[in-house]
Amino acid sequence: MIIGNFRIELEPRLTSPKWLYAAVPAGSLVFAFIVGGVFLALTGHSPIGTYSSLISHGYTSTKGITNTLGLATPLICTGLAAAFAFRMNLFNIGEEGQMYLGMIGSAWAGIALAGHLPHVLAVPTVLIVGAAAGALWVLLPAVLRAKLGTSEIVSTLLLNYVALNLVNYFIFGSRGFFRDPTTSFPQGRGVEETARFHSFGTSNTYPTVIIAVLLAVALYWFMKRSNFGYETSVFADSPNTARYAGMNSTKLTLSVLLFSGALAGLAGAMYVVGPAGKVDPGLLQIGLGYAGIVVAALARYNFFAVVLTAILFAGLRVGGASLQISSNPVPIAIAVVLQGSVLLFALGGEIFRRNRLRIRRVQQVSVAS
Amino acid sequence: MKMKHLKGIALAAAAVVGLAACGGSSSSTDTTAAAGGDYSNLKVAVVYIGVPGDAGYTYQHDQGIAELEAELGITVTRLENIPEGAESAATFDQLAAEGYNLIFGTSFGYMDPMLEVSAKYPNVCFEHATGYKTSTNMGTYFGAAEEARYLSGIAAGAASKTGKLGYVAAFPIPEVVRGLNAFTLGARSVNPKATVQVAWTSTWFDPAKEKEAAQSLLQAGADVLGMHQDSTATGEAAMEAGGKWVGYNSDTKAGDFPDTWLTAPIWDWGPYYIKAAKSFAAGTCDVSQFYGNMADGTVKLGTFGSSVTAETQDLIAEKAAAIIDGSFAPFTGPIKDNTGKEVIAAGVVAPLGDLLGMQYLVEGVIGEIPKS
Amino acid sequence: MGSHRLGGATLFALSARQVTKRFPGVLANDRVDFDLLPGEVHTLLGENGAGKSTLASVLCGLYKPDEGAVLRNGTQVRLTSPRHGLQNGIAMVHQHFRLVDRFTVAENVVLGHRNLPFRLRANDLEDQVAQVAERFGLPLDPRATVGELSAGQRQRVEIVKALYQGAEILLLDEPTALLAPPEVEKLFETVRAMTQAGKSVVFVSHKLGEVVDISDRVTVMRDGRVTGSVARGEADTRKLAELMVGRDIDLSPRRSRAAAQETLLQLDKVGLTKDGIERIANVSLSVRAGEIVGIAGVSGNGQRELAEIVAGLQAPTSGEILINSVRVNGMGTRHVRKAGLAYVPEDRLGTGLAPSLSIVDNLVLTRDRGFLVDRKSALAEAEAFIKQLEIKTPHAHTATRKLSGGNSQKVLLAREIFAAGDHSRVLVVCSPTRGLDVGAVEAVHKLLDEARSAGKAVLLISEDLDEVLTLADKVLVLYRGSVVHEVAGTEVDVEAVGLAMAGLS
Repeated sequence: MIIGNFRIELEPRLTSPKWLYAAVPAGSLVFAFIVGGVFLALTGHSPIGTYSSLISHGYTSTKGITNTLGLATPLICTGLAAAFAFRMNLFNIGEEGQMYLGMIGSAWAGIALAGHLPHVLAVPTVLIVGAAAGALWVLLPAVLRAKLGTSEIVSTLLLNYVALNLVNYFIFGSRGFFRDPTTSFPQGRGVEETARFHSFGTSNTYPTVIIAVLLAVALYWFMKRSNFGYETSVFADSPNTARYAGMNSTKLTLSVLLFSGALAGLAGAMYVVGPAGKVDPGLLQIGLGYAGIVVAALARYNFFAVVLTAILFAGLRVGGASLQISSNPVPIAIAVVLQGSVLLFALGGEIFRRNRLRIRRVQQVSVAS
Repeated sequence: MKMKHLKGIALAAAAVVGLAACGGSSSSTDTTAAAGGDYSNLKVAVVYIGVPGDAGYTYQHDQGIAELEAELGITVTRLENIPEGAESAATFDQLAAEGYNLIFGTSFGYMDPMLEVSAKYPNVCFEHATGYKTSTNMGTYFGAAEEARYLSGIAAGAASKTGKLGYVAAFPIPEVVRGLNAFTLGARSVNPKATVQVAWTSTWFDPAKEKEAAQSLLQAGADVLGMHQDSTATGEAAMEAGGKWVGYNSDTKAGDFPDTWLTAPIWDWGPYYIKAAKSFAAGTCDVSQFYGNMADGTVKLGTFGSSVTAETQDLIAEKAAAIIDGSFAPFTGPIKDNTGKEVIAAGVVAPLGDLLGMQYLVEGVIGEIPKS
Repeated sequence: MGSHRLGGATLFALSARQVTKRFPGVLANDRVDFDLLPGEVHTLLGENGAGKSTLASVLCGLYKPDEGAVLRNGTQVRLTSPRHGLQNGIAMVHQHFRLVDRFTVAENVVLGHRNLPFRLRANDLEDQVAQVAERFGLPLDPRATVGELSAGQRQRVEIVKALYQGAEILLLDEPTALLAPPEVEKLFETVRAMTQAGKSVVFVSHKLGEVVDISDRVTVMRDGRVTGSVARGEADTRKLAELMVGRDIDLSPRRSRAAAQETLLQLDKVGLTKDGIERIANVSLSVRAGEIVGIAGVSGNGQRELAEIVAGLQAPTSGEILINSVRVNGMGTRHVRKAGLAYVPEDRLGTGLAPSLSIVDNLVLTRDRGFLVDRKSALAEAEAFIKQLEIKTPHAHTATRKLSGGNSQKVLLAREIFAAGDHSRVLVVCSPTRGLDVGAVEAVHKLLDEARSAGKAVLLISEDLDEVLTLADKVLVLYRGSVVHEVAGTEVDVEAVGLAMAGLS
């Protein structure tokens, strides 16, 4: 781009200094808030007041942070699921559906198995069955991808709709196992009390948040140190090199996708052992699976960053919705614009991490011949 | 994401034991608001699944809230687009924590989160539309849309030339089934050979899918459509095909369908909201299961389109009067289901409890619902 | 040398005036002057990284110079893109071809051409393409699918494409890198045909020998600067080499005189038929300890398949492969490795190494890893290699893609020859110096020589005939999947080998 005598160019960086990895997201955030602030001011809201309310409702008040952590818990899992698959260049877009299946699977376990088990076993069983159900839901796309090379993007996405209709069918369209038999209302059948966690105090945060965070730590360690993590990194970087070294790409692809599906399934299971306690079609409205993909992308597929980003993201939602609680309520649409601009700038900021902005005076060359 | 726009299910109160009768008896709970006439201690919030701009379900609730504000001279905090599920518990919790003492939730899926939060805030009064669970500080409200559905069925039956009607419906759950049956009974009361073909969409709000379902009904020969959905897509399909249709929730869009609009069962929540707020201001959280009807004005029949004849309008007015004075109820026997089995004996008026758990399709409906 | 003089000043077809181009951390071109006469073949000579490709990219419009100017027929042009360059009659044929594999030759040639008729008639296009090819002595089947062509044939497609689109000036980037002697000779004929038609050619090359034959003038670059420009007749290989590297180079052959030892690798009537096409036919050969057997041949005659069969990446459809007398065919690459084979593939950065992974992690690649990866010993090993082999890298955790070609090849060879716990005695090496500069070539050849001295059996498969002749104790020529010529390294008749490579023996 040339403006006057100056030329503005983006030049690729060969190496990104370490500080940029932190500075760019932080800078993006600040920039997003400035842009959002202008937008708020134009629509007649105090930017400072709105932001302090957003931050208080989303993060700093006890109520705010516990509400946020509650929403972030399954989001961490779906974020990890997306990040895990992407580490091998596999695009699992089906976290949403796998999460629904996790909800269905864990509700089944919570109803059918948990009654026979003590509390210490019941919750883990329910979580594991939920994870297994999530993995099962990605089995077909995983096999198609591993054996035939069929794009997992399309197949996992399509199965989201199937899963959605499955939940709707169980609750609204039929009167089977998952429907509450004590009422003609379309309600899920509650799992056994032993299969549920109590929230911390009167908050909306459940002990599952600890599991989710520990999971991120364990995954980080596992992928960094294990042979499995090593092989996926080789495969992601260069499939030919993996083949050269005799790695079994079919097995790797299958394992990674199934594990990703299990993590997404776990999100649904955590929803069941936590706030829901049943197959709850309310989960279909929150979009935590799709949000997990965004979280993973913002976190640049780093597991620790997924945790932080999920909390940031959940806080924006919780705090954003709370902005309507005011004498001069900020309409939900503006809250969504704020959330959107944060995401947009965080992604856009990547350009400045990868490239250097240069402004130069255009030189006129005199030609002698 | 379109799931966010899914509207909560508008449902009837439960067929549970101990159901309070229509109109609502009240049991008392803690008094926090001031005595009648002074509403300064009242801090009211309403949580919507959608936005008032939907010209349907949420729009009608918002009209009612506006009536409440005007009547009591207060400002109500509105929260829009709050999805069901975990996020809603946080929202209700936040509201209660901020000092709101009367909180309305308008979607079925808020039921368990509201119940859970109500236990944490015994001094806050929660009112939940369309659900069935109550507590010492949580009541429910809904109404007998089937009364107006029956009347709209008369308009539909009279308008049909082929005797083939269609009905675009969300899910085969009692509330929807009840409306469909009432519509069919109304249609057959003026057109005894009329049939109503039902198309299930498995969604509350998906204009494309709703329209597709409506088109398939029109192609199958239906010339008048009814519907139980959140968008007006059915009307668009009918207009394109030259058919007539019956709306739902609201009649604000009637003018967009000049020749094809018949009428619509609509809600008027204002009286209830005013009653509940005044009751709470006077010290009582109404924890009853309020089930409004045409007599108390919660349920109404919307404006008529030009193609409803004066004769039909007179007939409908007559029936409406009978419903309001109690001399007529749509579900009065003998009524057979569509397999020929008698479900309501001759002369029997089905009790509300039966209606709320309705699991059969009446004679004349072409379609199926899952068996229990 | 023909020169066109107008009013006392030479009118150059294309010139660079004081061109400077920087990349982050690199001064790729430093005030470079360059002139190309009409009808001239002008070679840009230099080691890898000398800046010659950058200059060519500036001349064709791919890069914009930071400073300085490009002149076309004496007038300054500000080229904004290669397309813009082409509009000015300048086209570049890149080392890495930019063709669509699934399209036919004709389709590739007309791809991106602006003035195509609305309705394409395949026959017309094919005829046109054939005509252009014919005129400049470039035999090509316009209906062939590009994906099935050899590197040499693809290069012809690129050249025909440039000519078809009206190029007057062709910039050829390392055009002989993939060609056998007869093909090189054919390319030279094409170049002569082009100059006779008034077109000018810039040859970008690091190969000393050949440029002397073809060039009217040679401009030598080193470290982003022009170190000299020499006209035909004045050009002398040794002088050019000095201008290029600034030191003397040992170009003499290395061949062992070691006594024959036991056979470690044996191929017995090996064949591979794939999709109904015979890729490898009845190849028998043996490599003994302390010996380098070289396989020469033009690209696309079965070299890759042969290497992959030996390495266990493909199973042969007939015949036997024995490593240390153990039959290994079809056993998969891990087993073959266990049986004692190390393999340096042609594509070092996309196959032999994982480019984004560190040197340490790349050393781990061929190890037995268990559940957890032991990076401690790999780090020690990496540091030892870096020191011994003078691998230029900031540290052992640097991604291999950030290394120069020579340094990444050293990492790969070190792993395959010297890695700890490696008991392999057979080494298969494919085109190990492709794209490397003279200094790195020397280092790689030294390593291969060391492997031989250490008693390894080395199978060297290379499209660079000079390399094979320099190193091999025995030379085999692969043509259409068969061994068509076999001769001891000491008795090589270069002409006979060249004919065999062209399928004329």
